[in-house]
Amino acid sequence: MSYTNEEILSKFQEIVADALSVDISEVVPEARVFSDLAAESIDILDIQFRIEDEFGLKINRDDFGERLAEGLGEEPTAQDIDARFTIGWCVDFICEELQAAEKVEE
Amino acid sequence: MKSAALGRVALVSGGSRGIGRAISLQLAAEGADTVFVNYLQNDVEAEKTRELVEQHDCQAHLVRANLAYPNQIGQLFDQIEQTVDHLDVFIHCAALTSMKPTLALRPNQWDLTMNASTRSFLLCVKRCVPLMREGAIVALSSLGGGRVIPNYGAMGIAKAALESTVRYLAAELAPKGIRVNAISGGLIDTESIRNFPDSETLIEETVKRTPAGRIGQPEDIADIAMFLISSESRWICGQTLVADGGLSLS
Ligand SMILES: NC(=O)c1ccc[n+]([C@@H]2O[C@H](COP(=O)([O-])OP(=O)(O)OC[C@H]3O[C@@H](n4cnc5c(N)ncnc54)[C@H](OP(=O)(O)O)[C@@H]3O)[C@@H](O)[C@H]2O)c1
Repeated sequence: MSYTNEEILSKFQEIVADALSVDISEVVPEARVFSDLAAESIDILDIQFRIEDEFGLKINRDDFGERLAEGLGEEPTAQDIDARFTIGWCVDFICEELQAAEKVEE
Repeated sequence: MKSAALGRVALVSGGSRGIGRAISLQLAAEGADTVFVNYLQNDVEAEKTRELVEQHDCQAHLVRANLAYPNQIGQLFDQIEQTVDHLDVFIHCAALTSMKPTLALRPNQWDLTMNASTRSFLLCVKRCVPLMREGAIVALSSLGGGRVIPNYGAMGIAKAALESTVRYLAAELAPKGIRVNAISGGLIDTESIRNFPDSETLIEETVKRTPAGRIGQPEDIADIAMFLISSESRWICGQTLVADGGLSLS
C-alpha cells in the first residue's frame, strides 16, 4: 500500500486528534506536539504505535530522536525541541520513513 | 529443589530488560532448551539478553512485537509455531504505563496501559493453550494492584484486572494441566522505577518501610518465577504470591 502526501497528513491528523482527545481542527501543521497539544511521553509512544500500525512502519526511536535534534547543537534545550516538534515536522518525518520503505506515491 | 526449567521451552514477554531479562537468564541457567524473548522496541537491550541467554547453551529467539496490538501477538505466536512444536512456560512481564494521578488519565493512556499490560496477557494465553500439553503460566503484578500507590493509578488498575484474569484463567486451565499464577512484587530495582516522579525519594522511603531493609532485585523475582513453574508449586493455582521483603506487612 502506498500513500500520497495529503493522505499521510490527514491520517496523521486523525491519529493525533483521537490519541490526544483534541478536535482535529487543532491539529494543524504549526501546532507544537508538547506545548500546544499537551502530549505526554506515553502519548508519543501511543502515536508512534498507531503510525506503525496504520502505515506498516517500524520507527527506530534513536533515529527519531537524532532527527528531531538535528542541527540544534550539541545539547538542544527543551524549548528548542518543543519548537521543532510540530505536526508539520512529524508529517515530514513519516513521509521520509515511508519513502525509505518505498510506500509513497510520487 | 530440582531444576524447574530443565529442557523446557519458554516464552518471556518483556524479556529484553529488567525482571523479564532476569527471568530469561534464570531459565537459561537452569537448563531451559529454548527461550523466546519478546520485547517492544529496544533492539540493543534485547540483543544483550540474547547473548546472556546463549552463554548458558540455551537457544534464544528474539521476537519484537508490540503486545498492545492483537495482530502483533498473532505474528509473535506464528513465529513461535514456525520454530517449535510446543511451549511449556509463559511468563508475562510486558507492561507500560504513564505515572500520573488517576483523575488526570486520558482515554488513550488508560487503553494503552490496559492493552499492553493486561489484555495482552489474555490474548497470549489464548495462543499458548494449544501449544501446551502441561504447562505453567506466570504473570507479573505489583502491590499497586491491591493498594494505592501515588501516580500509579493506570497500572494499579491494570494489575488488579491482571490478577483477576489470572484467577479466571487458572480455574479454566487447571483441568488441562496448565497452572496460572501471578507474582506481586514490591519496588524492584529496574529502569522502570526511574519513571516515578522523584524516584530517589521513593526508593529511600521504600527501603525504610521494608522490613528486609532494601528494595527488591530482579533476581529475587526470577527465583519465585522458577518456583511457580516447578512441580514443587503444583498445588498453587490462580494465586498472586506477594514478594516484597515485607513491605506490605505494615
Ligand atoms: N520494577 C518494579 O518495581 C516492579 C514491581 C512489581 C512488578 N513489576 C512488574 O514486572 C514487570 C517487569 O517490570 P520491569 O520493571 O522489569 O519493566 P521494564 O524494565 O520497564 O521492562 C519492560 C519490558 O516490557 C517490554 N514491553 C513494554 N511494553 C511492551 C509491549 N507493548 N509489548 C511488548 N513488550 C513490551 C519492554 O520492551 P523494550 O525493552 O523493547 O522497551 C521491556 O522488555 C512489569 O509487568 C511490571 O509491572 C515491576
